[in-house]
Amino acid sequence: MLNHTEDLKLDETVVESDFILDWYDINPHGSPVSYNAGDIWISQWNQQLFFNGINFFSHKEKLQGAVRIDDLIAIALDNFVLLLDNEAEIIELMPVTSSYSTIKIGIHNNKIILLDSDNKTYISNTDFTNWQAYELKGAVWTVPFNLSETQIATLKEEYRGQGLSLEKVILDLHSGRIFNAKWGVYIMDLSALLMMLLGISGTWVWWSRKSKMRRKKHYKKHH
Amino acid sequence: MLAGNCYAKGTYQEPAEFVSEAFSQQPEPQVIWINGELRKQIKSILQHNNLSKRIRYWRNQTRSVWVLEEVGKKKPITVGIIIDDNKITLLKVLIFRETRGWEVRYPFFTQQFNKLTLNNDNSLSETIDGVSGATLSVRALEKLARIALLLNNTTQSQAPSK
Repeated sequence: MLNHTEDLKLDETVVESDFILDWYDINPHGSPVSYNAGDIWISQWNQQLFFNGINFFSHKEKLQGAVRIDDLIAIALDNFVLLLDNEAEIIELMPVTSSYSTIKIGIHNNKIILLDSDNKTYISNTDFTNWQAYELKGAVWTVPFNLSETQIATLKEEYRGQGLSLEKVILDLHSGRIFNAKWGVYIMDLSALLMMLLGISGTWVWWSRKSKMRRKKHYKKHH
Repeated sequence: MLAGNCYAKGTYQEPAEFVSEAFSQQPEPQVIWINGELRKQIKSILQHNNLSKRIRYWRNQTRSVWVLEEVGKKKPITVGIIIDDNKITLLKVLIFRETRGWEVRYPFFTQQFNKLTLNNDNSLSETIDGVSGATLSVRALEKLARIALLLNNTTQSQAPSK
């Protein structure tokens, strides 16, 4: 079959089965989280971050909100603020001052404000280079919004990237890597050895039975 | 190349701790924007386009401190670099995430960077001896040392501005 990859277009056929994509861990789990930063929507699905539905960055920390100040977008993660320009180019991944995780982000007097899990507020300077503790009452924090079905489908497609080709699945099925990248090949090696053993033992059983029958016939003929 | 990323695994020293140890009185962080000719020079050192638009640093007179990252083989290596009077006085691997090439974190290797300066063609003033099996990590550290020296020279000649 693999000899006809091009004729059968196995390398161009994309697998769409959720079961197989889940098996390869290409399908995102759970639900995406999204925040509006002005006219831009920032989302996170598992560790992938999306800018208007386009995957632009990967980070293991949780998305806690996003704001837009002029041409700059600030995305709050647990311990960092990711600064982007309006074309999703990364300006800086800024560490935050607080030793507690950030849980909310907002804007105050054209500066970024952060709320940590210890309920303390921090404010940036005008260049967004530094943070300082700040007493603020009645702050407005960004809140997540629910994505439409179309937006979720866009994220899912983006998450899967180039997708998974049928050729890759068949190759992995043959090599055993479909079971496990590390020890899957040993399962196939063992299966191949067992097949050989079955072939040899089958031939041996057949041969020994045949020679036994021959000896029996010979015995009957001469006795 | 992103500055300031931090993971717990393989952390030999927290970047914030490295910075605070570099000064008797820690100055406020400053930023340098990576635009125009500087961006071109850094891209030429890195040999790729993946770099942030601004980099954070700390300076007190002739002493500057940089926390930079570059991918060795697959994962970023976080390095702290102290420069004094245009010479590297300390280069230290702060976070190493790769599975191979970790030998570069040992002083026998990093001490080679001490007192190095930057030549006019943005190369290091001395050759760095490699470590067998850690070629990519060695290369990443060399790139970061060159970038830190270049940024140090640039920030000495310009005021930090957007």
